[in-house]
Amino acid sequence: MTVKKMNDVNAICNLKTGLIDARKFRSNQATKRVSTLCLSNFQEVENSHSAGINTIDLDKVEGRYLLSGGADGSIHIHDVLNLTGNVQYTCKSVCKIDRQSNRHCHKYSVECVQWYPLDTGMFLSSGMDKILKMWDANAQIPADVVIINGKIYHHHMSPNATQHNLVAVASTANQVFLADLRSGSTTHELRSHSSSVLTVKWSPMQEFQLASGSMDNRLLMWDVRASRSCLFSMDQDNGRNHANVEKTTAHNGYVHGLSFTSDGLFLISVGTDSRMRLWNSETGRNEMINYGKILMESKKGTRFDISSDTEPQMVFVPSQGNILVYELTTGTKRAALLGHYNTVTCCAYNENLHTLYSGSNDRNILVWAPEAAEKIREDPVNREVGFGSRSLMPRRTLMEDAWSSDEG
Amino acid sequence: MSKRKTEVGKLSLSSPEKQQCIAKDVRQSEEALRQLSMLFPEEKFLGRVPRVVMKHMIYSRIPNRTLVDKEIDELNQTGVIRLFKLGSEEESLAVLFMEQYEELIERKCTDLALAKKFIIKILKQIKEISVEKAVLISAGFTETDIKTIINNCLLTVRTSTTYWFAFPGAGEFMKVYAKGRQNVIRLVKKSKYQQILQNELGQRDMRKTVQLGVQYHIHDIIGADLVICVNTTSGNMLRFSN
Repeated sequence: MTVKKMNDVNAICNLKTGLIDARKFRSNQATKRVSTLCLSNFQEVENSHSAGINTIDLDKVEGRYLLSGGADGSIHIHDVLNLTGNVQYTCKSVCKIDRQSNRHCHKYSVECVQWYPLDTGMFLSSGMDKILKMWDANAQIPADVVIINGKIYHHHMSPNATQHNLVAVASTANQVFLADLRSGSTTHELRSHSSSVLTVKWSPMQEFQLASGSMDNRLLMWDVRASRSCLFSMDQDNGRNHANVEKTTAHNGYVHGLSFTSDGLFLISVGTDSRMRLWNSETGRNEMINYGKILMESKKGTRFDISSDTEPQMVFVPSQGNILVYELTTGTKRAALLGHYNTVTCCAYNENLHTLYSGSNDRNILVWAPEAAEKIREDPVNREVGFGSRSLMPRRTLMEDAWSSDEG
Repeated sequence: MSKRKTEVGKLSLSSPEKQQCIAKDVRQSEEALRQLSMLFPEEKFLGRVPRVVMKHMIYSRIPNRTLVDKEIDELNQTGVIRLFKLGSEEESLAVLFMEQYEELIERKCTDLALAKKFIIKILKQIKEISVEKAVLISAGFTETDIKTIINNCLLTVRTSTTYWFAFPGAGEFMKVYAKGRQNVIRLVKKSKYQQILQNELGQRDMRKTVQLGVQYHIHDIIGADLVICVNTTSGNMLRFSN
């Protein structure tokens, strides 16, 4: 269905009189906002990283805290919610775990961080030091440490699991490890890949379904309750191209990025053959959507995100120094967001604010906001009241610099 | 649970406007293919090479690639066209109209009966780009039959048990195509700011170096994403993308 170019006031009136369904109103507005995403003029994230950012995660509960892991092993948390009343806002760093301040910090780079899906009291981080750490977010001390038999590329904890507490770990070992959080053991292994596993993701709908992509070009779907091997391997030709090869491949290169859509029906995979593919998660069929070439330098993996509240759904995928926005079901490129100075490694979409946060090797986290909707206020509200009293320094505006003066 | 199962399956587009769009694009893809195949200078090759169009050339005419892919797939299944893999990249698929292909086979093949048998038993049944030896044997072709077919350039060896489908003149086409594409790209790269107006490129005389014609290669490089098309006030600008 087409997004009608509606005036905001007209849309609200239609909503009130019942001419338009509430969900459709919400998705129309979301789509309108996502279509105007650009580098935010008013919001920025405070620079606290001293090395390239490898991974970011936004908490699912409020969409308020942004967790980011760096190549020097440090982990930072920023508060992205704007409670100051000003349009211009810098997202402050709430806590920092790095080698100087915390002896529990990772020894090598952090490859993946994830908030505990139910609240922001705990998060998990893993990295090249082969350790998966479960941190208490308030005390900044790891509550538990799991040592894996290989450098960890990615880990994922199921967002809706009630019957199990498993964290899937993708590492240089050929098997997918399932670490049980209650017991701390990693005895459950999924064996089928013939090379390092680069990425794992749990399905957001079925708590026992897991997808894994690896360096042997295959993408496998698992049910962790099954005693034998994987459910099926996804084949990019859907079985058409009979070539008498033993294994079916999902990509012509490593499968290094995976993401389920929020309804769990489709799975998107990104590979080093510069292609992105959409798979049906029940049957494993390649939906043959042509997204074109998505150039990627990194062989390690990228974290990309899908906006689920817009119609049509959009995929935000990092490609070298840009973030490309594609429509999920048709494959048309909607926008290319330029802003980073170096390779973009990860991006996370905030559904509440319709903003995108992206981290890259240039140590910045950039905020992409639907800027066309925001207007500059003449005088900022609540300048002295409330939170203004906390800072002793005068509040600087983002536009101000040190060398231009007001006179002439 | 049952509601989710009904959503599973082919991505279906529900509204009538969208279905109309598909129907229009169905005819559009085929029409674009016919127009592009008219660009091919058949007279230069004196019947050795048929009118070949590369699949990515259609992307330069019709922007929605997924629909083009689906439509080409449909045309392939119904037997209007046939796809061949030329070259090592994933994208290099050549499209040939079936009537031309059959006419070429009948003209070029040494053993006419064998050719007819090949067309009926294999080409009509198998629509993929490669075929297994077991399938050929079960269709009644002996080893010597297969050897004759390979000699007539209808099959190429892929592995010890599989073969690619091919057409006579594929080798000559590939050479001329690769050379022509290189020359056109070199022209774009040499230009100031590595960009050139499409009209200007079309007017350049390159009959000696680009045998297939500059117009053919313009569609080729746009569709293969070697250049970016920028819309300017004086027409389309082709900018080299690295």
